[in-house]
Amino acid sequence: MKQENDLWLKKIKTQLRDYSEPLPAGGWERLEQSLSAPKTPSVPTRKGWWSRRWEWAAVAAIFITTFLITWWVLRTPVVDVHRSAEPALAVMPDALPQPPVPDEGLASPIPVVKQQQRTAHISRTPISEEKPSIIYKEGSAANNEVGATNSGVGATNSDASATNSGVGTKEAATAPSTQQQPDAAQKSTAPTGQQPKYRPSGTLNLPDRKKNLTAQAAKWAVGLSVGNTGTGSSVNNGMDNAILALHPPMMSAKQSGKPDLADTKDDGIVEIPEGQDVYFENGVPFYSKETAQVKDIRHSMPISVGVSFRRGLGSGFSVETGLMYTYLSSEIEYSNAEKSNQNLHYIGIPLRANWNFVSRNRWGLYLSAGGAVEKSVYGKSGDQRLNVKPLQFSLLGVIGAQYNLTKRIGIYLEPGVSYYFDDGSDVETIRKKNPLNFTLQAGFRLTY
Amino acid sequence: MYEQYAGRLLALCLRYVSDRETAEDLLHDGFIKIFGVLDKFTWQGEGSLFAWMTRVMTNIVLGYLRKNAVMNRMGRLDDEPDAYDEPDEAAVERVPEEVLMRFIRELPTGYRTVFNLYVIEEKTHKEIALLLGINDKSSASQLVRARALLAKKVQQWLDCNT
Repeated sequence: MKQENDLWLKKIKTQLRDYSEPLPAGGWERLEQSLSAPKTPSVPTRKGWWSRRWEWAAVAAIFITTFLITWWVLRTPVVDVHRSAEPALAVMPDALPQPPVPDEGLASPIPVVKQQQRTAHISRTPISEEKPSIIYKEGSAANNEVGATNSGVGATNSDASATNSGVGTKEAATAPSTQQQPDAAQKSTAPTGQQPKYRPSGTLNLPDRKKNLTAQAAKWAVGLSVGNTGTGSSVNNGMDNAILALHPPMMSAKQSGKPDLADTKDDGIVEIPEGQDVYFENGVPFYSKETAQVKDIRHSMPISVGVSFRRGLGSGFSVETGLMYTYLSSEIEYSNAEKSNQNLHYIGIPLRANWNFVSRNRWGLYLSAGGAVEKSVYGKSGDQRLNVKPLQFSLLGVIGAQYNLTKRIGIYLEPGVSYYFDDGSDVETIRKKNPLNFTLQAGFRLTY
Repeated sequence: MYEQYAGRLLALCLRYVSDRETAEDLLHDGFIKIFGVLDKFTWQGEGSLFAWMTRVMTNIVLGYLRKNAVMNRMGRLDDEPDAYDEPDEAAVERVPEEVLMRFIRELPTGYRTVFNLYVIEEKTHKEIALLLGINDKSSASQLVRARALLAKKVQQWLDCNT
């Protein structure tokens, strides 16, 4: 090649470099058409819903299966032995049915249910024992009285005890008896160390199972989640006043208090305080009150179902909101062995911010923080409607790890903590009992 | 973007395929491809977009040429070119661009392709050989013939237009 003669070729090149050929008429329109209705394989096509129906069917099947498993596992209620009122004897009569002689120290007025916070130790004695021994922590004069009375009670105690145990909780395997003295009758405590009736409910801390199907995309995303939040309820030491007052009174409730048979006028008529009826059980008179004492509350695991939307903000950040429904169920047992179910249905709106701080080809790590506001939309306790007016606020913080099985589907694990603010209502739920929970969510996430 | 670059890209297509209709079709296909892979383009400075688009379009064109086996239709190689005078730079400058385009389009396909790749795209014969599936010696000799033809046309024009 003759290099020096190539200059003219280079000239051709420079001359033609910016040369622009006039465009054909309608060229752009034709191009536009082709771009919006792509036919050539070079343009990536987006598959619509219908062509992806098998993917959705698989997803739905996973969703339903995990929901059912979760539901089945969690139907077993978490036992929370929550001691409230013990059946109270108004009086330990010397002998039935005669009213006891006042001299024997039973003249002290029998208070009706005293709602105080006390802890007391009661040593359980079998029915056969004739001498009950009850130790109170409170060193009150009543103790001495009680002690004195006890010794004199004798056989009748066992009677009363028998009645008591009949009223007691289910776990009377060894038929222990609660021996309570008049003054202590209104004891409304959950005694610690009470054996053997005491059954620690064990903080179950069952992991959350939220099967979360969230579509995470650069833009908007849709997700579906099923799960529960919260842990098992924990041991309750001591009694809350509030709890007693909380539960709607049972109309037909009986219990608490025996008429003071000693408090008779000379004519032998026992005065029954107003608002109380007397009924007899095994020959022992008891007060029947308008309101029954709440004895045990067993909270079941909350179950949540929800839909979530995630919007990417760039740089690994995204915000997420949605709608969720939560079902809280509890079983309340009253001191007269009646039971009722308390069910609450909440609708809530969660709000979260996520940050993917590690994002690799197949897996990633992220942090999330946020909260939710929920409102009870329907509630029922026994036969009555519960109207929980206040909103339930909660906070949530999790760290998550996600592994992508395919380009579309990933699995994730999110341990974290959540805190439920006291909603200020009177209704006792698992959230009031355990506001701070460790949570663990696992699920599937779809990405588009 | 279309308005801005389509003209130049059409010129590119015309240089290679000469037939206007085919060139317009290739322009159309080329733009579809460009829009399709636009998300993969990272801007690297002035003119980088057009350079990238040019590469995409060139690939489309060459793909067409390969598919249509135009390289098989070449001029006879046994003919030695006649001696000719190559024009100088100043003379070439006097020739309008449209005329130059016309001359290039009038070249036989094989010569034209090699000419475009060597002169305009500044590829080596080795690269051209790989791109077109020919022998690099064949590429070189085709270029020689392309030059000769062009030189003659330019000279003729200059003779008629001075």
